[in-house]
Amino acid sequence: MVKIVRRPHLAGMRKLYVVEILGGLLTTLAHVLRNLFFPEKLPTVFYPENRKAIPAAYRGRHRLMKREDGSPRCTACMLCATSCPAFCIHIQAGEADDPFKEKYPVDFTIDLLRCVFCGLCVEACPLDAIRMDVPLVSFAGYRREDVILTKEILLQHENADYAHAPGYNPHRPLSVTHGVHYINFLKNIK
Amino acid sequence: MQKMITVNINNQEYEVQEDCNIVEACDAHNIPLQRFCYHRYLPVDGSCRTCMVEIETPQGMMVTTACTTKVKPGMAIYTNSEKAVAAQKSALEFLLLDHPLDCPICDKAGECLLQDNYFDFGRYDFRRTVARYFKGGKALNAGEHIVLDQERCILCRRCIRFFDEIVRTPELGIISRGHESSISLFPEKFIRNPYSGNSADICPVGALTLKEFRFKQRVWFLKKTKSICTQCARGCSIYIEHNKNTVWRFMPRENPALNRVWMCDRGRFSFNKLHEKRIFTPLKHQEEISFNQLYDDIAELLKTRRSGEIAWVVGPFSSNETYYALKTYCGDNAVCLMPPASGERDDLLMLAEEYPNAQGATFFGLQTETAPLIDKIQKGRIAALIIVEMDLFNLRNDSFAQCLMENIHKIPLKIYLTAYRDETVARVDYVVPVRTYAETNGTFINATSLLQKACQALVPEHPDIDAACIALYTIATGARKHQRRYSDASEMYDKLRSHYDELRSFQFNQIPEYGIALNMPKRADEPFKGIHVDFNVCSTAKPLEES
Ligand code: SF4
Ligand code: SF4
Ligand code: SF4
Ligand code: SF4
Ligand code: FES
Repeated sequence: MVKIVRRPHLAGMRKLYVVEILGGLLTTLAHVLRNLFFPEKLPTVFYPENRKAIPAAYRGRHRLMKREDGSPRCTACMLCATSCPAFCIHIQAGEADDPFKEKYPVDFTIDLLRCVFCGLCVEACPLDAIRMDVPLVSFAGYRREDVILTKEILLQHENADYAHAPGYNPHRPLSVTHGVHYINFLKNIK
Repeated sequence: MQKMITVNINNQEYEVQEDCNIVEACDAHNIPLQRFCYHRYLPVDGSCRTCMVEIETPQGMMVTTACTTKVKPGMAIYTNSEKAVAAQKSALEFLLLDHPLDCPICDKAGECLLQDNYFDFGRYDFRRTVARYFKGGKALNAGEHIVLDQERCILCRRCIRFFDEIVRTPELGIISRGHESSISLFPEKFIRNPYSGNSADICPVGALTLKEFRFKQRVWFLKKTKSICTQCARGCSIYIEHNKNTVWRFMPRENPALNRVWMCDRGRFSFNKLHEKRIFTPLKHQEEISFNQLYDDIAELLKTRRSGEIAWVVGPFSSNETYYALKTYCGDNAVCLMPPASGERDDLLMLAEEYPNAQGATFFGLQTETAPLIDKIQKGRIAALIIVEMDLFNLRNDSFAQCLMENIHKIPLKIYLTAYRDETVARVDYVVPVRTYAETNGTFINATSLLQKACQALVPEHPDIDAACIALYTIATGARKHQRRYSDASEMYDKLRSHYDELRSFQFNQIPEYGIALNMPKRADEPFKGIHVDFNVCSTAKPLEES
C-alpha cells in the first residue's frame, strides 16, 4: 500500500520562513548561553577524564571466575564454545589431578575480534564461570594479539574492584554448581 | 525369514516378527520407549526396570518390562498408558536419585541415555528429602584404556554381560547391596582384554570412559563418516568421528553380518596413525619439489622405457580402485606382495593378517607370484620400479624385499606412492604423496568376501595430493591434470563396477551400508565362531543409531 504524504500547506507569515529561522536561532542562542554560564549542566561527558557509571547489566569484556582455592571455576564443558554464534571461544580440556575436579581448561582463548558481545556464553555456562562484567568501555589494541584474550588474562582480576560484582548474568542464581540446586532452581522458575 | 505376527501397540496394529521382544517391536515402528540395560547384541537382563509397558493378559492388565517380554499374536501393549508412564518415570527417578549429574565434566554428555531418556520420559520436580548418598570412586584407573566412575554407574550390567558373555573375561562385577551397590573390578583384576573399548560404547552413561578420548572433544562437535577399519583383514564397519579435519575416535558401526556393534582395541586406537608421520610434499632424491614438476619428471622418465621394463609392486593395504588402476593401466608387471600374517588373532574378530584388502587383490586377479619379477630384477631387466602404498623396505623375512635390498643398484628409477614417511621413503628416487584411506573414497573386500565402502572423512592437507588410484592412473598414462578422466576415486569405482556382475547394479553411493557379499572363496572363518552374539536380532530391526 502506498501512502501519499502531502506537503504541509504554508500560509501567511510562515510562508516567509523568517519567523521560523529566527525561532531556530533563538534556540541555539539559548543553548550557547546555558552552556557558557552553567557548564555543569552540559550533557557531554569529558571522557576519559570523567566517566559515567557503568550500568549493572552492561556486557563488557569477559573474565573467568575462580574457586576459593584460586583455580578456575571453569570445567571446560565447552557449552560456551558450543553456544557462541561467532565460534570465537577455543578451549582445550585436560585431566585434572584431583579426581573430584576431573577436568579443567588447559587453554581458554576468546578472540574478541570475532566476538559479537551477545552474552550467550555467559548464559550457557552451568557453573557461572564466565562473566562479561569487566567494566572497560574501550579495550582496543594496536595488534591482533592485544585483543585475543588468553586464559591468563581472563583470570587476572584479583585486586580489581569489580572482582565480586554480580555482573551480567541474567538467568542464573550465582551459585548453581550442583544438579540438586539446579533442579530446585528449575522448579522455582515455573 | 521369520514369521510375522500382528500386535496392537497403543491401539494400533503393527506387523512384527514372531519371537522378538517388545523393545525391538517398538523400535521397528519408531514407537519411543526408554531402556538402559537392554542392548540388541547382549543377553536380556531386565535390571534397570525403566522400559515399563502395560500389557493385556488373561489375568487382566499387567505392568511389566518390555525387554523381557516376547510379543505374542494379537497382544495388546500400551507404552503410554497412565500406569506405564508412571512406572517409567519412577524407575527413571530412582536412577537419577544418587547420580552426580556432572554432565559438564562427563565425556558421555551428548550421547548419554540418562540425559536423553530424562528429557523424553523424566519428571522434572525434585522430591528428595534425605541427604544424597555419595558413592565416591571417581576417575578410577580401571584398565589399559578404561576410566571408571562408580558414582555415575546406573548398574545396568551391560559391561558385565559384555565381558562375561562375549569376550568371556569376567573383570567387572557389582558389589554391595541396595543403594550402596556399585560397579567394581574384581580383586587383582584390571580391564586388559582386547575388546575393552566396547564397554565404554555400550555403557549408557559416563561410568566407563576411554583414556584415549577423554576430554579431547565434546561428542556433539564430531562428524561421523561411514568407513571401515583397516587394521586387519576383518574390515569391521566403523564410523570415523572427526572435527576440524582431525580424527578423534573410531566407533564401531552396526553391521549384523560382520562385527555386530563391536570392534577390537587394536583397530579402535589406531586412529592416531592417520595423522602420524605424514608426508605432504613430493620428494626428488629427498629434495622437496612441486607436484607439477613431479608428474612432469616421472612422465618424462617413463616415456623412454618400454612397459616390460616397468614393474609395479603393491601390497594388500590398497583399495580396490588402486588394484583396478594397476590392472587396467599398468600392464602385466604388477605384483601384489602378501606380508606374513603375524598379528594377534582370536575367534571373535581379530585376524592375523594385519592388512585390509588381500581379498581385493585376489578379486582383481593381481599376480602374487613374485619369482618372475625377482628373476628379472636380478638380471637387471627392470628399469623402473613403482612401489604403491607399502613399506617394502621394512618387510622382514620376505624373499622379494630381500632380493630388492640386494639388487637395488640394478634398478635405475624407483618411485614410491605413499601417505607416510616410512623407511622406504629414504631409499627411492621419487616420492609421490597420496591420501590416506580416510581422505578419499574407496572400497575394500574383507576376509569373508564382503565388499564395503570407506567414505572420505578428511580433506587432504594439500589439494594436489591425490588418491593412490588416481596418482597411479596419472603416472601410468602420463595424463596431465586437465586430461584426467577421474577427479575422485569413487569415479574409478563407478568405472570398474561395470566389469563385474556382482557390482554392476551398485553405484558408489548406492553400495549398501552393510556391504555387498561377493561370491568368492573366503580367507577366514566368519566372525564370532562358536560364540552366541545375536541375542535379540530380528529381521525387522532398524539400524542402531546409538549403542
Ligand atoms: S559474547 Fe557471544 S560472541 Fe562473544 S564469546 Fe560470548 S557467545 Fe561468543
Ligand atoms: S560454559 Fe563455563 S564451565 Fe563450560 S567451558 Fe565455558 S566457561 Fe567453562
Ligand atoms: S552419565 Fe549422563 S547424566 Fe550422568 S553426568 Fe554423565 S552425561 Fe550427565
Ligand atoms: S559401568 Fe556402565 S555399562 Fe557397566 S553397569 Fe555401570 S552403567 Fe552399566
Ligand atoms: S531395558 Fe528393560 S529392564 Fe532395562
